[in-house]
Amino acid sequence: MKITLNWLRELVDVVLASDELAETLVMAGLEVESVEERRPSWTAVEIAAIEDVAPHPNADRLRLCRVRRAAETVVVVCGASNMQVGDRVALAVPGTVLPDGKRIEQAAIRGERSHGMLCSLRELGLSEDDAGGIMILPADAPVGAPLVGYLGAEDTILELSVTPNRGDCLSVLGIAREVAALTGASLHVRKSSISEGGAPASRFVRVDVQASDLCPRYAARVVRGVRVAPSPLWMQTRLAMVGMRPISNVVDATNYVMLERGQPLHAFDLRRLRGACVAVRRAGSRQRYETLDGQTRELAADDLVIADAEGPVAIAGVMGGADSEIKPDTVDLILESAFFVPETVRRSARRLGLITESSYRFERGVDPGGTRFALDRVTELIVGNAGGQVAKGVLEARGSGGRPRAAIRLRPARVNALLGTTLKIPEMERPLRALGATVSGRGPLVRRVVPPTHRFDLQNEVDLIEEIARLIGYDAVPTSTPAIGAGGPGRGPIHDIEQRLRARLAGAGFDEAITLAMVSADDNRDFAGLPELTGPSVELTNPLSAETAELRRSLLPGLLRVYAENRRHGAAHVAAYALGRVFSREADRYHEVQTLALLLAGARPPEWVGGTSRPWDFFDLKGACEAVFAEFHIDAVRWEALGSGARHLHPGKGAQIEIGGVSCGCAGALHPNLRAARGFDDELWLAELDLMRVVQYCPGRVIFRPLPRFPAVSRDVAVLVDEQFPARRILDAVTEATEPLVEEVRVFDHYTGSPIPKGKKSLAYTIAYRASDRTLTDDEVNATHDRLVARLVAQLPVEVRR
Amino acid sequence: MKATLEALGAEIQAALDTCRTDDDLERIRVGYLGRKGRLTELMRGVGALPADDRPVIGDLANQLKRRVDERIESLRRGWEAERRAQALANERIDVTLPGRVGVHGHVHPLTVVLDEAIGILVGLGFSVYEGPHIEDDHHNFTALNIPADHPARDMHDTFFVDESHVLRTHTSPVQIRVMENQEPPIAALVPGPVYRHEVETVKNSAMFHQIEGFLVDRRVTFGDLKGVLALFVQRMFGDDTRVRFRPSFFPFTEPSAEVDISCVICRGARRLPTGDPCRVCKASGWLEILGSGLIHPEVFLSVGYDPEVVSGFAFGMGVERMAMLKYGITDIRLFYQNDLRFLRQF
Ligand SMILES: [Zn+2]
Repeated sequence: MKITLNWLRELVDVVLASDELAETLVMAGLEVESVEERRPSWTAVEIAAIEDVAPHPNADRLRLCRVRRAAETVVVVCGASNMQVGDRVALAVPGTVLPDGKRIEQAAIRGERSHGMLCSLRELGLSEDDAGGIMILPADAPVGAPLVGYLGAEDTILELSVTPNRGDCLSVLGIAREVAALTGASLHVRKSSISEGGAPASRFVRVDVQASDLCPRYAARVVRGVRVAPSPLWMQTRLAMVGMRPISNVVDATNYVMLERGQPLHAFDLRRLRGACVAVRRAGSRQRYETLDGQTRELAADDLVIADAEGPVAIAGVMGGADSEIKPDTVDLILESAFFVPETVRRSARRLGLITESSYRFERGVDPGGTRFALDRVTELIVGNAGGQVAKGVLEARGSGGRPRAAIRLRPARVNALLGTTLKIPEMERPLRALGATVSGRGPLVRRVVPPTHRFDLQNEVDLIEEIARLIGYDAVPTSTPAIGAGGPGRGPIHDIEQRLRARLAGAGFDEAITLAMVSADDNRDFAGLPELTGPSVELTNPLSAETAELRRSLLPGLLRVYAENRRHGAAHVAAYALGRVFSREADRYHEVQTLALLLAGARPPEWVGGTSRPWDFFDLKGACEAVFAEFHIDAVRWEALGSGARHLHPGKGAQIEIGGVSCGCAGALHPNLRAARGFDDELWLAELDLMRVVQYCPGRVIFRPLPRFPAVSRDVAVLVDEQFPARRILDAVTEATEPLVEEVRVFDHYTGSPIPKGKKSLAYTIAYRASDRTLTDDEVNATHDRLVARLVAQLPVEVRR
Repeated sequence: MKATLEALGAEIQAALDTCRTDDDLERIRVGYLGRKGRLTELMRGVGALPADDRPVIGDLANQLKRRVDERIESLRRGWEAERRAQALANERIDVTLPGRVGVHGHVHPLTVVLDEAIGILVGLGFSVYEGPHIEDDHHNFTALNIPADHPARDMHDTFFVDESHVLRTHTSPVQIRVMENQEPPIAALVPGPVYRHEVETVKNSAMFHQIEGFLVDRRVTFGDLKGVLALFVQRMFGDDTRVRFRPSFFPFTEPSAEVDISCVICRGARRLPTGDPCRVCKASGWLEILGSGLIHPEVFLSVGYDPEVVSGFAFGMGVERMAMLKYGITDIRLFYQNDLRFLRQF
């Protein structure tokens, strides 16, 4: 919201400079977004009167105007022709600099000396269009006075951002009240003077508030015989400064009073109301209706409307209708000032998508005690600017809003207990009184506080406590340090796990990516996520775009975007991971799983300068996953060939990862179809793990195993097998043999190519033997090893290589 | 015999004097001291000498052998030391070549800042809690004193999932969940993503991160709020950071305060050393960093706490904003583009 300093000064004595004022408002909770000084360059332009107009002897299109200044008469050459003798005009005397930088000099124009220039609105930067020639001022404009002062064009504009609880501050008056309370300055709000005459207002129109629950107060006046025309220039200038477009003297007056007093107002054309009646009622049925912005809107049955005998003429508090709007030929008016219940205005405005200056104020609340006050102010301005006769009386309806406000109990001890202060009771009462509240009661225990009607936000004790703190200043509240004795998990298991994970993955060369939780429906179709997400995807009711229409089932689409973007920037390889939630709808609830996803793509950087790089492969990915498992001491992990287990992965180049027999995710190459669809050149290696399921296998604590006292002895065995034979079958067979001396078995070689026949491969294993109570003899080891190898040959399709 | 011995000694001496290589030295050693070496042979002949001569000659022969051994050893050591010195003078590694660490991963800057803030607050006695991202209307709004049809809902542009569920617009619903599940005293900390229905710009992102903290106990005061937050921002942004509290409005706190810190760029001077106005704080000297306040009695009532018995404060801050201030980042979108050239700077 914008206000101007001069406007504010009309309502309160501002002794502070503009930056001090801004600082004071900021520290009282009214954020000042900007302070803009409007200092026109043309302060030397003055009001002059035309005394004579004569043709220019040397140019048909020019005129010689003799104009009267304060103390002299001068001749000015002018190109316009819209002036007449007696007109008040804007004279730029020599030395004036116009907004476009042009400097006015005394000069001869086609042989005639010109002592300045008569300006148009556009030349002074007051209007965009140049129609109508030079500016003609009202006949009572004082000759010799500076135009800047006459128009109020020199001012300071404050842009404020008002929190939703402070609807009372959405006006110059509201800010003036704050300034008064904060600085002790006095407010001066003049009572409007209106002279009524002629027939009573009730003769012309009947007001019938049927929905008094939604409209507790309604006041209207009738003004007859106005002449609709542009507003006076000072009002146009001021409205333009605070960002409102001037329209006409009637409409501008309603806007002006709304900005000044905070009460939205509406003017109806009396002759265009059918049946000479105004009803405030619910729309009653769905119907179409044209608002004055020219759009047809659909009203709902419980929208509050102002209606004439035949139908709605305004959506209460939101916008008037096209049929009854003020037009250039309007002569008789009904002026409306009302209090509509905030929620009803808000509902209608939201539903219709129609947020106006009026609805914005009504839904934040206007002063229920200020209805009549604003009505008289707008009537005064309209009669002053557009003429007309105010009909006798005010058409008024008052509902329950007229009751005096109940007092709020304030316990001084509570004030100090919550704030941590040691304020004395008068120190609490003083700021409340400064706000206009009445404070009564004696003794140390309780005060009864009745806030003024415009502070409808003050409803209970804590509201008053906040006001006391606000006005004494938060700086005045002493700082203390509490002893925090609450228990709790500290960093907690999840954050601890994630922090260790991040450290591990950084060490393994992975960069962390944080990706948006919203993806497209296609992303969710292609990447269905963890096996436990069996239900449908979660769709957003109001997505920003089709690309972000659903909540992700998988972190992988996000990582693919990270890959694509970085490859586009020329990154030779991408090793990235993401940690985050994935979502699905399961039966009657939403399911959220904290997930870890990894991506490897491109060429693994060479180990060192001059080395060769190779593409990342499955075993790089598996190694990274194993690093994660190792971090959490999880060893019961099995990698099973994927087959058709995950649609987004290559069936032959992927694995299901099982821990304790439960699938915790999968890893492998992006399916060639998806790769082709997305136009990726590289083979992409992807893994996704259900983090919470993984860490549930994390042993609670690590228990020390005593170090072996006797040496281990190793024996190797190499076997020739089919290419499709999984290396782990030998490991499993060794384990199943339960030979007590076998300590460990692992693969140490994998080989295909000459001299191994085609379709075969060679696998070599090393088996460590150890006894805990003695050093093994060669004979013992050989006997066990031979037995084990014989068993392998007997059980499995393997041929031992000698 | 003695003369023969002396002559051999002189011969060996001369050979060693002219010897220059390890190979020559070895040849000389084998030639004289080897199994068939001439000195060895000669010494073997000592046994055949008359008994009277034997001790003297034997002694002389042994002395000669020892001298030769020592000389050979000394030459060898000398040469080796020379070689080492030479090597020391010549062996040079180009230490400016890159290390062989291979690939090197980075933690996302938002995580860095989040972890730092969590570390500070955990150190102050707060504990981390989490909640769902798909939140019901009650926890996200109503229980936090934001009723339907209230203008305060305008402060939250909301993504809806169905009629009664939204993507949480702040971390505050976790306040409600924690209080529903346990009794005071509570000192809780809630980090995580939140969602706003906002078109992506330099300043706005539909997803961003918050950290929320709250303390509930008997007799928690507004002064306590000021004390804890002053401590937090000084640890987060440096000991010389000044802090100010301004009145503000949040439906779930009252009194509410916006917390500003002295600008991290101009240190509150409003101008840069060059004299230009500071753009980061718009020449105000202050930066808005978090929102806070005493927990509203309505919030306590919604979780069944008696506001006459307990009081508390809550605060929340944007992680992106803190990271932007800390690192001088001016475009919030960088956090979600995950450009490796960006990520690898942290
Ligand atoms: Zn600054």
